[in-house]
Amino acid sequence: MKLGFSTTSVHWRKRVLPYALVLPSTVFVLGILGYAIGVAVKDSLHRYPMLATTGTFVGLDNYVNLFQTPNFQNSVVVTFVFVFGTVILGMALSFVLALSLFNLSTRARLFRTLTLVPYLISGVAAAVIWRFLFNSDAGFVNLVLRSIGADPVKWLSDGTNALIVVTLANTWKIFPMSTVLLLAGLQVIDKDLYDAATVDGANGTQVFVHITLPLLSNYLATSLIWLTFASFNMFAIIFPLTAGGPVRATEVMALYMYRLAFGELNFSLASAVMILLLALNLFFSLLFIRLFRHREV
Amino acid sequence: MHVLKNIVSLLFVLLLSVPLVFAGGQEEEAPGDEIVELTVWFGRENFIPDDAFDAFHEQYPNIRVNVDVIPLEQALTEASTALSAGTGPDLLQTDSRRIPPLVEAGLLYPMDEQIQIWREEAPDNYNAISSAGWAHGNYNGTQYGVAIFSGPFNHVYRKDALEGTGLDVPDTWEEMLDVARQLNDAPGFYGYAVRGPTSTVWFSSHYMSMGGTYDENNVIQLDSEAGIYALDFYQTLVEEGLISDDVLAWGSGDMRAAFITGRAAMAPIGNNIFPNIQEELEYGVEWGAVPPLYREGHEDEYRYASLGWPMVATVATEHPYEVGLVLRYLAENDHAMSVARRYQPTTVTTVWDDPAYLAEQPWAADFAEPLRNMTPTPPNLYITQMDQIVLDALGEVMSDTSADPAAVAARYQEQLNALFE
Amino acid sequence: MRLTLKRQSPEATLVPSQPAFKRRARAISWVLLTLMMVWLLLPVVWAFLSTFKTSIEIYRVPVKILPESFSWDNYVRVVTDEDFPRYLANTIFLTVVTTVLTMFISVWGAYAFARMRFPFQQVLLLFVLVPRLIPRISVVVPLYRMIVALGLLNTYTALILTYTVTSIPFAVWILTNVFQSIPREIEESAFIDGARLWQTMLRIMLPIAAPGVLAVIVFTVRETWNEFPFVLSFTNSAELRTLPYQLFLFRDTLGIEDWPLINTFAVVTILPILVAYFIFAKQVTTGIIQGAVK
Repeated sequence: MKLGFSTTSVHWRKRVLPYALVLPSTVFVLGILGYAIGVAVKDSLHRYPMLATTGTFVGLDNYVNLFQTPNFQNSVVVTFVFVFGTVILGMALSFVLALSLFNLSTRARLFRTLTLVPYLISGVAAAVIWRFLFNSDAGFVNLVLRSIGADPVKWLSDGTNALIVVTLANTWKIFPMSTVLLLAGLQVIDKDLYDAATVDGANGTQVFVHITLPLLSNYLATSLIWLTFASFNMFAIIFPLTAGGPVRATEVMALYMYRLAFGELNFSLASAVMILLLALNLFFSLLFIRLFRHREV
Repeated sequence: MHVLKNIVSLLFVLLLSVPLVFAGGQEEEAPGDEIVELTVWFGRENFIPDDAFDAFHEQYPNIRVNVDVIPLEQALTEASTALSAGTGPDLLQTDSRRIPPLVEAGLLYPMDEQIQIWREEAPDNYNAISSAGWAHGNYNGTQYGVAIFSGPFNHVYRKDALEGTGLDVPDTWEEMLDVARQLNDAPGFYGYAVRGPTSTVWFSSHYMSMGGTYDENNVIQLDSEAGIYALDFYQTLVEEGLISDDVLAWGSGDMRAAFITGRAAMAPIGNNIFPNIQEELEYGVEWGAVPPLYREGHEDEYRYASLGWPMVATVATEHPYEVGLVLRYLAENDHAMSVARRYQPTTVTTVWDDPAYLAEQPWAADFAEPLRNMTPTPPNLYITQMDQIVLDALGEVMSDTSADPAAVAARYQEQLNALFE
Repeated sequence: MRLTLKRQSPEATLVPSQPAFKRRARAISWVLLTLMMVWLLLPVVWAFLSTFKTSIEIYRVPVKILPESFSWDNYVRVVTDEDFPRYLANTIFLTVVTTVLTMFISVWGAYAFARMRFPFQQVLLLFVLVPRLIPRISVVVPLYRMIVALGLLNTYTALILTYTVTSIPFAVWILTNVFQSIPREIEESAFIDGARLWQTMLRIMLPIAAPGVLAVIVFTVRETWNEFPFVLSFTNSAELRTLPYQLFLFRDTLGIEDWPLINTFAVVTILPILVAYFIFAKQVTTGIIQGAVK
């Protein structure tokens, strides 16, 4: 019997090799990210004098302080408006786009390719592009408004409008990915099911509600998690677009955290915000998996 | 599929060669014992003299100066982390308002002794530096370094626009508002331009010119007559549409652009931008500049605020004498002038009268006298927190024109005072 | 010609090959698709067109869509800037090293997770996969503290380490799924023929998994090329500056808002990613679907 390897190498291959192969990724990820989270937990339970490296243990004081700070409360509200605005709009747009692409299948191949374009563009470049769209004097939107004789609108210097623009820009940037995920789901659904339904005389809406949606639930969950997750942590668009302004109207938690850390040098409070942000991410991911998923993807 | 296969294989070959890339490149260096190495952090590339230490290295062949540019905004964080890790610079440039946190954290090295030696060894060079230059490097009576560069914001105006409508250059802020109202009629053209609630230094320049003071902890007094007046001034600009709608979202670039491209008639702009304006417009013909204006009836309380960017010595240095030599080099007339002619004004007074400088900067003669009487914007231990609170207050009156400046001032003053409790 | 006529024969109309709602759905789909494409592409196209305009032209009312003349001046200005090669080289260097490292580590990890059975496998997999729920910005503060403690501020090492570690979870996730979708028999026959593991990987697994591998490469390249929070927080020297960071700084360093020039810079920074994507578009979409939904 000639197997091409000896018994010792069988032992090696079975017992040691798997660990040798997974070790770099696990050690790397656990070592750096795990350690980082450990540092953050520790920092969030300590208070440091400014610019000092050793601090005193203060328990949950930093968290208590945070919840009493109006600027933090503001950032939580802004975050939720921003995230759920994006999720609702993003889901709607993803559905429309994914269904149109699916219906037209190969006829729309070029458009399928173009769909991912916003997602590939860097956050900073997207911010520049959107700033140029909504600039008061040179922005496309106000130029069009003025061309048709309407009054230009304050976009980025009005709190509410700025939050709308930032949410739109974020949706624009991240919804292509959720579209692709939904499209993947649509493609997996068995064609015969549609044909059967059609023969039974079901119309388009009925097919969508009774066949497409239930079969899509896993992909729906993945898309929802993706949109929520990407929005909770969006920094690269907001920071260059509005820097949280005007007057903190677009200061989401990620920006508030950044400002605490690198503006005020308050690393312990910033770490507390970070832990809360992580907790929110985990909570919503688990929630969506619970609500929509039948199995782990 | 073949193409794919090739690409994937090529990538794989690249993968395998990674360790080789990392294996090489470890530079080994063994400096001779007699060479003194100094690391100097400049806060802006522009602050480095044209000579870039060539003359210095020639004069002191045993000293090597390594130059790095760490933006002023980040100098505090970077310095504190680098110094506590033992890798900090010998000399670093910072905004003078941010010296106290560095001192309190024990990161700066007192230079009084070295500066005394400087005074004895190079008196001409030492005596040329203005009092503001020394003040910006001083905290609680200890001299940590010196500011070779210090500059104010000035009131710049479009001379052509004012003359075209027969208006005089205003002397007071009240007159300025009137002029702005009259110039404001054309669409897309504004009487004034200013940075909004995204930076405090423009606000503190206005505040000090209006008679604003700081208490014994160097805390700004928003809740004073001058403080409420300053907040009301910014609110009026928004309320009456005397500044662009976008100002709440502006960076400093936007404000300058509005002035230079002819979309604003007046603005508070630092001398460092004057060369840029001059590229587009001619001084004395199309534009002019004067120190910040007065508040009517409060001429006595007027102060001409300066910002300073001192070079300060750190505890990382083992060669304070050589650090002193670097300061002397930077303070030499020609090197300071090479920066001042294209960037911020210098505190080296001999430059102010230098014919070469006067010939190149047509406004220099007009500012020679005012620059002697600047008052440093005070340093503060909690500068980062204080700035945030001031910005929030400013943002509130500018975004909500129905907010009462006095009430806003009182509310935020409590927060400011709480910093020192 | 005849054939076409024949297709429109009466029988065909009497027995439609598809229900009417399907045809109507298709028409609606075209309308919706057109609207979605406008929404998707208008911001980019508008910025792109402005790169050929003059600073004064962009303020004109009524709005003019097309530039008066197509001048490449702005592109020349951006590309010939004395610091541009450095920013470009930094971005390329970081992207290549990070992608190569990520792929090397992830390919082997994913293979083991997909093909081998060993104790603690699920736990280890979880450790690698959970961090894909930990985004860059949320670890920026502790990583900054860590990098400072290690004295790695302002170094390529800090960026490469942090980029790689945040890229691995996604790569392992997709690649594990992709490898699992490949039938076992293919590689087993290779092993029986005495092939070594790395030979099997190189000659069999990677070529079959090529779309998935390419998708992961493109996404890792995208992440690194576009990265902003880390480079913003962990570096500040101009020597390490990347294209997105410079684009971010562009507004204030110009002193004057020159929109055509800023937009040109933006276009130049995104062009390489778009080109790379369009070349492999088909494989990337197939691969991402294969990997993400398996």
